[in-house]
Amino acid sequence: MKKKLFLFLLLLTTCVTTLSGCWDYVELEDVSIVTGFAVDKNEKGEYLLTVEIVDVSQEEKEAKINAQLLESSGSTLLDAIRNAFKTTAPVLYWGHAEIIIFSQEVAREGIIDIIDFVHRSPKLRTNIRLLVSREKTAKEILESASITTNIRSFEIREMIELHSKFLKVPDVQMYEFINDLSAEGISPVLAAVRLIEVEGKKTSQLSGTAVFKKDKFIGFLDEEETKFLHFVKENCKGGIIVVEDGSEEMKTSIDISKSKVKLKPMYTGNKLIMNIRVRIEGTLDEYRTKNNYYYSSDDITALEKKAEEQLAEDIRRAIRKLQEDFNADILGFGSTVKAEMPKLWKKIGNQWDDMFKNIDVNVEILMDIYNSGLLYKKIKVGD
Amino acid sequence: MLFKKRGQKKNVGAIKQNSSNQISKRLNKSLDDNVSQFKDVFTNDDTLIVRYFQNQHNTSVKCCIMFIDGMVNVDIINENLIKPIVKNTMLDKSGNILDILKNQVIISSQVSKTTTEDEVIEGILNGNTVLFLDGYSEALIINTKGWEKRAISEPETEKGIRGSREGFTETLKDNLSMIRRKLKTKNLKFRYMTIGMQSNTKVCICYIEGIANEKIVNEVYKRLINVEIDGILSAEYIAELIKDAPLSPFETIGNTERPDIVAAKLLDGRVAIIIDGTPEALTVPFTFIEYFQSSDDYYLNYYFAIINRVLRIVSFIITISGPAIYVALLTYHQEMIPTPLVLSISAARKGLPFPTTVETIGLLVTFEILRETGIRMSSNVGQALSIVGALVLGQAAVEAKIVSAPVVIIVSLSALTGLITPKINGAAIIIRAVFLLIASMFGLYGYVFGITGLLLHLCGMRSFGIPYMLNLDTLDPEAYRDTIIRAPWWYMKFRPKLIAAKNRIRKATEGGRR
Repeated sequence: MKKKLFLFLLLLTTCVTTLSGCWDYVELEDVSIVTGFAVDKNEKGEYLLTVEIVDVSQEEKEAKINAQLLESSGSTLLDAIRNAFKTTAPVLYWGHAEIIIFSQEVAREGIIDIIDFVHRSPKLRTNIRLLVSREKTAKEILESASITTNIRSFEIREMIELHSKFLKVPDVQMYEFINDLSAEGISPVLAAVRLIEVEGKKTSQLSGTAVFKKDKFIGFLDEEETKFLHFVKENCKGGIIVVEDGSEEMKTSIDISKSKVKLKPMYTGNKLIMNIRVRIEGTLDEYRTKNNYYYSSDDITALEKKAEEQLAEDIRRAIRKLQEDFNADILGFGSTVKAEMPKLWKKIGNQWDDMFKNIDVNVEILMDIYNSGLLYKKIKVGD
Repeated sequence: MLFKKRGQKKNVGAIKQNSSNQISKRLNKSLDDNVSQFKDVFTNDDTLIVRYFQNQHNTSVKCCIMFIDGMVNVDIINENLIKPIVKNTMLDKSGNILDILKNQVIISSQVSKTTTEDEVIEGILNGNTVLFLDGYSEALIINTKGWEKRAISEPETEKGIRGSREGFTETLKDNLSMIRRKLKTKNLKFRYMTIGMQSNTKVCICYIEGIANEKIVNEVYKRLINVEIDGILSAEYIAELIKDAPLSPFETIGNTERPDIVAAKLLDGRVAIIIDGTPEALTVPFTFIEYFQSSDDYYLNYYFAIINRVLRIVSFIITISGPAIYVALLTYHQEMIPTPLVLSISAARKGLPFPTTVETIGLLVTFEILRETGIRMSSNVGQALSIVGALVLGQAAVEAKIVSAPVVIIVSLSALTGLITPKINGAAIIIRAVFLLIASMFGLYGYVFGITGLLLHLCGMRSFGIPYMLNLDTLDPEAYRDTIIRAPWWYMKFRPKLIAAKNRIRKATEGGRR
């Protein structure tokens, strides 16, 4: 009995260790780590894939990390990826890819098939960042020079994370895009990126929002518009507002520490009115005026009033642009109506595109400037 | 089924009891017969000393003493045994001279009378002196034990910051006295046994009556009686013969060289087994958490003690899992490594000849070789070892691109964390290797299976009827007072359950207020 058990265990161990396991085993040095890729279309209408991979080499003591670009084309994305293997010995490893850049052309045709493929594949992360290139191709962005790191994709991803705090670009991860895409009454957005020249070298810069209608790209919003709409879209914890204080040259910056938004739809007489109320707390950071603002003085109250009016006007203008130029509900008014008035949504949901154009918007801003930094009055200039 | 062999042992024990029941030979009346009889017994043993002498005043009182050279204190024999008998003036009286010698002449704290050969032999072998008197078929066994012994010193393997500096020595009596000095209660019981067919080693079962669970005491006694072995040179001889789960890499019997630890365990209701000739005491039952308890936990401030104990437990987890997780992440789950780290590891691994698994196993084996060498070699070559170990094997191997630097870090970390709890290190080496193998074959799935298997194994074990994971398998807050934390003394009102069955209240109060 014991002998049989022993033999059985021996057989089991031998089989388990030699006949199974290790099927997806891969050594780290045998893979090329993909950090990001750009999707374009070439003249033949095929996908042109530009993949950025990391080229690591150990030189003496320190590791050198450089980016390399691979290009390949194919009639489908997977075809293009498989064609990329023709030019590399190591396997491409997608687990650390951080951005996907689409060209305007690809984005205009609709990116649902690409997103579906990427989301379906277990190799790619769902928190990958998606961007749309403002330039002719997406490839140019990856080809541009990096300023701070050696790897373009990582720099762009870090820029997005940082800049979205200043509200000037949306930080959209793939799963968020998919959520907005599949939800009713909201249109998705992506970050936009373009090229600028710094000291003769081309490098990339984040620049506003790419607005989508369904899965198709329809146009860009600039950075200021992005910022104003951000206040309506979600609660923010950063960003600045520049208030024109009297004349054109007199400007004051308010650093926002906290903003809270509340959307309240109202339906009266076949007309939908959206009441937007934004409560903003901020500090006075910089001013180029003769006024000397004391904390909780009347001057501050006047400045708050001015900021409220100005911001409300800016927001109204940005929403009007959305309604008239794009007719894309990126702020999710539709989903707010659906949540607040489900019965009404059942009636008007299927004609939301027409409704959105004609919504009246009431914007109410409550600005609270609660301190003025380390100084309580302007530095005095003596003689 | 694999773990239980008790049934066979009982039969062996029965045979032994039969043999000890054989009637031993009686002594003769004639002095010469007796002496020649024992000279025959100790043939070819030149350490046996036989000394005849007579009383000055009554030469008919012929005596002979026998003892083994080196086992006795010769001064005692000269002054308290030979001198009083030789010079005595009252031995001409009639009456039982042997009784007179025993009661009025010999100056010794322990004198006993015997009639059997076996007792005489046992007495001689234990360092006593045996006195034969012509005309009597009885002999006196006089305690004259005295031999060279090591002084009490702090144990090298279990050093503490505070608390007693005493450590057990090789002498049973001294060891027992060290425990007795710490627990001056009449309830502290010492029960002697003799184990070992050749070595006849004295073994003492020690417990506090009223606190220790009687069932456990009886179980210890029963298992010790059934032990059948040639000789006992170390506590491990006995531990392996009486422990539960003999095939497990984990100990189910505790051992310590410190009398204060033994005293603390006795106060918890545990039973100690102290063995002559070894400076180690065994304590049972032994639960898993005892690996991580140190005497300093109880002697230092409890916040500090909690930090230390948590560090030990975390270290154990790191030491068994570190290499396994490293290999699993590197060869199967690269996406789980933070991106900057994956790049630097990837750079470090460029151009290395061996796969990660082989590299890790190789370095682990190298470390174990270094560790064992450190114990075996003479201390004079210590410096050479550290140079070879640290420089040649560590730095040079990395620079020569034989192994990568991250592996060296992982192996050193798991080696370092393994040494924080030296007693579990033996088990940790085995578990680490097993985890590493399954993780290299199945990735993190394998590692998780390994952890599950380990927990099942630990939860299935028992030590003298007490669950091995006692107090670790419950959500009862009371149970945690002395496991992963060490509660302040005024909060530890109860002794561990099951171990101290009846008398569980410790009655530790804070200045009498509670």
